[in-house]
Amino acid sequence: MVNFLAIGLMLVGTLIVSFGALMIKKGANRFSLREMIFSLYFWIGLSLYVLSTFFYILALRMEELSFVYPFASVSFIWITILSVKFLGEKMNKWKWYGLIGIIIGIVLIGIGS
Amino acid sequence: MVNGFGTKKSAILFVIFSAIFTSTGQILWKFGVGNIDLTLPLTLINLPFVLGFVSYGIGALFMILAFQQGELSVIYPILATSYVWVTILSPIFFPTDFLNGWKIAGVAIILIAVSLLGFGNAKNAAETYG
Repeated sequence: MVNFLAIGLMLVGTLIVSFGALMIKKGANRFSLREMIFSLYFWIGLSLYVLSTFFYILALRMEELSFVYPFASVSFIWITILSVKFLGEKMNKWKWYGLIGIIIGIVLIGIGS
Repeated sequence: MVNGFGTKKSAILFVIFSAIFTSTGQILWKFGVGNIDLTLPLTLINLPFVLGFVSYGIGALFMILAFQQGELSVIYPILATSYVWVTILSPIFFPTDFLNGWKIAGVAIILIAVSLLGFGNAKNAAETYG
């Protein structure tokens, strides 16, 4: 039986890391690489990555690696949603298949864990 | 050197290295978290955990290099193999972990799903940039 607290930690942690990726992408879109490293976007993004690590460590202490690490692929779902909402990226059927597939895959791993 | 997908061979090598270092980092972290006592922050500095960070960092650098030269439809599937490597390796290193049909099916579907996402993203990019 999978620890529900670990699932909660992973859901929050992956959401935080996805906002981090969004910030860094926003910085990368707006600035050159050199300017970006001195931009607020980059440092907020990096801080969110570090913050998410704490959630990941806590989850990793509670659950087996073969559950926790594949569960981190949830971040692909968040990133896709955030990219559509904040970066104006478009959905297509391949992305939908991918999102649904990740959910199915995680549920199967959860059943097996 | 460019292959049929328009991705440089060096980019494919970079992303393979990235998957290897990322997977190694995960195994090291799992070893390391066992040594961490949350009431003693200094226990965060233990050898497997720090090595895991280094390995993860190297993996991230290779990933950035790969993203600069390669296409998403090629990079995503190779990066996602790290889920497979970690799932296979974890029960070998950690006796409490185990493999079964559900987990194998789940990780295989995640690998395909992430590849589809990469393909979908590459399709949009191709429409935007020609």
